[in-house]
Amino acid sequence: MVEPVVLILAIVVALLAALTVFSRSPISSAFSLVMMMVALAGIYGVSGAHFIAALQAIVYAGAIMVLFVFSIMLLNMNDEHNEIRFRSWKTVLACLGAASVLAGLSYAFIQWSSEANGPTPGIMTLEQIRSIGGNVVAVSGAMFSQAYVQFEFISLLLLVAIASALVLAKRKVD
Amino acid sequence: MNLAVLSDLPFWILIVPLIGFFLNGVVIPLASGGITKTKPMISGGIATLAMAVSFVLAVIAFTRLGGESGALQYTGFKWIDFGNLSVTLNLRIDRLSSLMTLIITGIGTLIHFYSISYMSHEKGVARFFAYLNLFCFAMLLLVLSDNLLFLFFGWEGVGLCSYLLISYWYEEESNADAARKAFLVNRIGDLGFVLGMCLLYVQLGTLSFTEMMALISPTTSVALLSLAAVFMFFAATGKSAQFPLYVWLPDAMAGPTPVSALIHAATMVTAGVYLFARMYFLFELSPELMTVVAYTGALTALLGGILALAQTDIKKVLAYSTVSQLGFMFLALGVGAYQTAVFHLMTHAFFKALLFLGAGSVIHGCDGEQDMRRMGGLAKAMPVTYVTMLLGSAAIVGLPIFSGFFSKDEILYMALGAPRGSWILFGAGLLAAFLTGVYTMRMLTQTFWGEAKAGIHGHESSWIMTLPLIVLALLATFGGFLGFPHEMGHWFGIEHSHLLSAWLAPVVQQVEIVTGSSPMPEIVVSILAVSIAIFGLVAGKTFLKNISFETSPVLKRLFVGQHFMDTFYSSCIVAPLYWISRRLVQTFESNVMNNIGGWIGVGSNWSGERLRLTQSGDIQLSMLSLMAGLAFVVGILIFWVAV
Amino acid sequence: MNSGTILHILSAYLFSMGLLALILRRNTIVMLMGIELMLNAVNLSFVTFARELSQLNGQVQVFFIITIAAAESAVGLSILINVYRNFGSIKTDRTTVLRS
Repeated sequence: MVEPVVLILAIVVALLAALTVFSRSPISSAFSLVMMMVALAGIYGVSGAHFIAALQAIVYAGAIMVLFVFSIMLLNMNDEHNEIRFRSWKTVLACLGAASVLAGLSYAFIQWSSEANGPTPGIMTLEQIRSIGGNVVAVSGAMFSQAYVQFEFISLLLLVAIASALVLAKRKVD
Repeated sequence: MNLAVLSDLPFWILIVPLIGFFLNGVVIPLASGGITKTKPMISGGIATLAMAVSFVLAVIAFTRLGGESGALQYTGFKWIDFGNLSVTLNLRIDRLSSLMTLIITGIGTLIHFYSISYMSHEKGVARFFAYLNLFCFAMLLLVLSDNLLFLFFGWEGVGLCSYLLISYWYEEESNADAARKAFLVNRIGDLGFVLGMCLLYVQLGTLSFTEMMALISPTTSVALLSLAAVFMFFAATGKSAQFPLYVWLPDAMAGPTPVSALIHAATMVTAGVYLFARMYFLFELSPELMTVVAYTGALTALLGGILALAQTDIKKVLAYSTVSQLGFMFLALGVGAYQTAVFHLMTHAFFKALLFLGAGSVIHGCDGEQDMRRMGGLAKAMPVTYVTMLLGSAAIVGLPIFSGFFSKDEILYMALGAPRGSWILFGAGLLAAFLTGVYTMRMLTQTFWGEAKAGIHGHESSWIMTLPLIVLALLATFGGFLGFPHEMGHWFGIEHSHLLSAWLAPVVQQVEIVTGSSPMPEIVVSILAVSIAIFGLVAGKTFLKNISFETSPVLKRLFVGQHFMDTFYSSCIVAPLYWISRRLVQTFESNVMNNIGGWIGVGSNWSGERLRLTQSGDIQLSMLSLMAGLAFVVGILIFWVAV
Repeated sequence: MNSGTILHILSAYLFSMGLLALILRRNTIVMLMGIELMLNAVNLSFVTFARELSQLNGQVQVFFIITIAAAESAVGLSILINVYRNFGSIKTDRTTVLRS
């Protein structure tokens, strides 16, 4: 049983991903990627991960991609042509490899799904989450009860990233 | 007196020489700008002070031992704690260890003091005194340890220091060769020690002496323990220079004379005797082995005496004399007279250290000359040395009231009267005593008496060298009264006149001679031994004084220089080893080993030529190989899931 | 075939697309986008597993991954700006010298 919304969104995501990789100019790559992020946010929402869906839309499609687009504009690369040489042996090899990774991972996932004695499911069913008070409450409860140390480290990481981005990008004044 | 030092006496006795070693080995050379600039007075003073402190502590420990089974314990760090094996640095001073500690630190102090003057012309004496202190540390560890493993540490430590000190003048190839020889021959014996130790541990599950003693008393399986005893005896023959492993000791005379006095006469070579006295309970399990020990000792005593006759180097005479006296000790051990062996160990330490130091004084006075044939008439030039050497000679020969008299006569009496004794052992002992007289008299005659030879004008040594000689001469003269025989003590109305025996009785066994079971009473044995010794002296003075083995080709080949044991070893062991090595060099080395390097080079060149192509700096290519790796891992994963 | 399986396959597909972008493209910005694609693939996989196993740990991990992705792209892009300043280009075949 496949939900039609999921199927449609999955096809959209797949197409946009291909566009991202193969489109001629970086700016269209970036815009395809933004669209793909939004579509993925839709998939998350359908899957019940409302908090992640919101994050995906705000942080990824909003902040990160704006950063990308700004960089492209700053570096003025609109005239760069697509440099993929489809006849090259490296390209053929890469496509073969990507196909084999795809096939292998898919096979492994499907195999796992049909495993009779797979891992036992947890207690956080959709009904349970709803009774707690929604996805956001449940996820934040889990995050601050089990993963608060990681949370603190992540904030530290962000601080370091801010500082290093500043140091790297500023003009040398001497 | 509630100082911290006194509560851990065994530890401090042990550690003070190590501190001296550290000061002389590290601090003094750094402070004086290089080891060659160190001053004998400073280095020697520090080393002597360390030994003197150790000696004072040993005396305090001696007075604090208390009752019969009293012992000072020190529990150090736990070194090994692994399964059933638990080895702790436990030090224990009981009556035997205390006696050994006094001998080592006492004579050690005197010899350190003597060395200040003896080594005064050397450059870089800090090295010498550092080694000497390190040796004393190792020797003290050997006698203080209460388990076999740390005893083995000391055992190896004294071997190492012996090696370092024999080759002290390492610029000369022959000295380094002598050191190597001593080290290798000792290694052969040490193999026996390790094997014996492993066997004992497997059999008894402990390495501590007290625990082993308790376990062995109600013994059940004797066979393997006896084998361990055989291995231990083998170890002792190596360290204590018994037949057939005695060959290293004469060569060890290449070292400075104080080293010969301390290591190769008074202390290290007696480690085997100490081992026997410490572990008599093990050796008593196998009377057959002890009979072998007794006969080995007798043979060594005889052989050492004969070889001493053939020497022209004054130190080699003393070296073979040491071999001979060690043979006496093993003879005593073999018949079960452990206390007697320790008694002779003590008196021998006194008079042999004295003789060696006297010989050192003679050599020093003759500007390094060691050949007795070129000396003569030194009695007038060196009066103190002469008198003290005379007293030492009287002690080694065994003239009445001198220390050797009591210990040697006791050995001879035991060799005859003990249950394992026999007329053969007694006769061999007597003959060795006769030879002792001959070679001692020969040495005295050639060195001190007669006409002065051209070119050698002896001069008396400084007081720093003569003071230890005088002290040792007093000890060598009167030290024997510690072992005044019971039988003669009764005549003077003294109970337990054998003080040493009474002292050692709780810790060291002694065979009992039932009254009347001996073919001769002790007094007769004494008279016989003394007359034999005097006969030897007279023979040495009159018709044997100029004996030279070099006149007879057969004797020369057998006993002079490379004597028959050396020849045996070089033809049966060294030569085949050389032959095998040479064949290996010719075939294996030149064809295989030499080419392996070439093959490795060619291989890395070849693979480098090809692998170079992958390092193009192309990120895309790197990513491609990364993906190949990922595909490989995913493949394995799938295979895993499928299976 | 349920929607979980579809999403798993989509995740695998996104991952291989990211790989392809990394290998085929010589424009460093697009390569960074490939990395984002791969991170998204992992996120999708986490969310799908979380749903199938009725757990929340997967979603917590996704939160952390998104944060790390933000940090990574910020630092990566600032490096790119520096590279462009030094070489005048951000193509991988031009920037082969580590020091000049």
